[in-house]
Amino acid sequence: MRKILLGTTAVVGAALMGMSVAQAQTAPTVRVGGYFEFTGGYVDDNFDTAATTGLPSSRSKVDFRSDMELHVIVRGKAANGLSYGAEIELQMDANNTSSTAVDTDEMWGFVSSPTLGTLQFGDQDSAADQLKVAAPSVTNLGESGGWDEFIAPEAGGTRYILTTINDGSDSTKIIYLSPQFFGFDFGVSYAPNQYEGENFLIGGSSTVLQRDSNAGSIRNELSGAIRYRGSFGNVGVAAAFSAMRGDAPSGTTVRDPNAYQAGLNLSAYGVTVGGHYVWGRYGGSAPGRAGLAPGLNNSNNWTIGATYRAGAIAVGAFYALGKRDNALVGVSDREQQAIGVGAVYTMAPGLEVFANYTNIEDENVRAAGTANVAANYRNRSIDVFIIGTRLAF
Amino acid sequence: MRLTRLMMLGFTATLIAGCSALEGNVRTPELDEYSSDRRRDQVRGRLGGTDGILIFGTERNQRGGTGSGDASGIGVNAFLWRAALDTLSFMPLSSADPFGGVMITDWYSPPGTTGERFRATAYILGRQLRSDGVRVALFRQELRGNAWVDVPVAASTASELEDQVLARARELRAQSTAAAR
Repeated sequence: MRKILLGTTAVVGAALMGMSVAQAQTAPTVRVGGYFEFTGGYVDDNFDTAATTGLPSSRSKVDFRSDMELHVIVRGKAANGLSYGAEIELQMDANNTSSTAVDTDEMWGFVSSPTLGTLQFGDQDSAADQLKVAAPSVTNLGESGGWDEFIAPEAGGTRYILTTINDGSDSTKIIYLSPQFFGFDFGVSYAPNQYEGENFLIGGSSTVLQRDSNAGSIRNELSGAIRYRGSFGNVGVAAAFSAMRGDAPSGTTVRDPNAYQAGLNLSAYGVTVGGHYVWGRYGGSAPGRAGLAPGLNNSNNWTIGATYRAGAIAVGAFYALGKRDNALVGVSDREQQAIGVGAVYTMAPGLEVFANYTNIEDENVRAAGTANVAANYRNRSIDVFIIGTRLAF
Repeated sequence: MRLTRLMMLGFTATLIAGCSALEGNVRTPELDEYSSDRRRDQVRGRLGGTDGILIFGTERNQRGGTGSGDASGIGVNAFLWRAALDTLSFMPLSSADPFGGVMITDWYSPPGTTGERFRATAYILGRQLRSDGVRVALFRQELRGNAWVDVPVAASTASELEDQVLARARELRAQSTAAAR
């Protein structure tokens, strides 16, 4: 019996091993890529008035914006078939007065086997984020696309609450992404805390010591997702369920955060339609990044979208709605709704011109700098039109 | 016990059958198959044609790097195509289809001979740079009276032409790799 079992295992093992095709060793390459973007925006926002901002006059409606990222991309393949590499992404960040400082965005390394999957490590999106399926969109159009870069945050510091799981958190983590079995694949990731980068412990402070259980807003972040991609006849299908949970820092009454996202995309004849629904125990703009105070209701948001591509032209539209508990007696939930339409023209491979319009109705929000009393909660109405170009190399 | 063995054998057979089905259905996804919120990834294509500018290492998928024809917009191997063009360039070209990989020359009489003429057809058979990726057919006619008459060609002549094409393709490939370094 044992022999048969062993034999079975050996046969299966041999079959699995035999699947790996002969791999040629590839000398490593280092590339530099990136993008540059210029956007002009016209903004009509009823929170831009002198009465709301407290400034002597209303904000002007027109603004220009430029952005860039530089990526260093390392790739190689060992003689045993393992691929390896790293990516270091440098971005513009608004963390100094001129908004022209450069810091790192993602930076991570990986090893990948043709039969065993991929292991990523570093400052990179979580497994729940990388495997998620979200509503389709075209360049710079979407629930948190180009429009939010042109508006002022409300009192809670958020411009949008319409987003996807983890919303691009790059806390230092390890991520495993499985091979794909008959269209299905899954992934898991773990981050001990929310910090990214070199993780330099700062002495003399009890709140930014990364290994202190009371530091940050999320600890022991675990995420996972399962995804299916396939096609039935001429219709392409992508569906995923993503989940994450974390511990709230010790010494707070905040409840442990969690977030879930389910998404579906269908595509045929150049048309893609789809949507996603995000829900869980969190507040603010980023699902699952911070816990929720006792007594507050869970948050949710959803988006549906459609895109159509024909040659060099792509057009898209979306509708999104999100809810957050306002945590003040007598004040209803914050409800943010966004509707957008836009188009993108690919002038040359890597060079796109985009234009889109988004209307945002944000109910029960408070302008930045105003007191947290019920009387200050108002409805905010925003129209944003943007036009610009993005160039990727 | 026998029944158990039989069941185990059956189970093993099923597993093996399952594995052969696995072979086409299990693979590790490429990195660009995951959801990315990077603004660079939303843009279709790349200026310069490759994903980033190579600063160290050897270009593997550069236009003409393997001559696979994908990037160069022709349907067959670019090196073999160019090599066949070069090799047959001493004859007037009557038609050339880079997508189907067919090159047909017009009749050609070598200088000093007016009584015989040649015509060649070259077929490039695929995207890979392989020694069996090119076939050359040679036709020869002689003027007898006032009519051209088909005459057999030595089989070695066509294969010599094929060798010429392959040697030239090798040369072009070597030049291209040297240029990419």
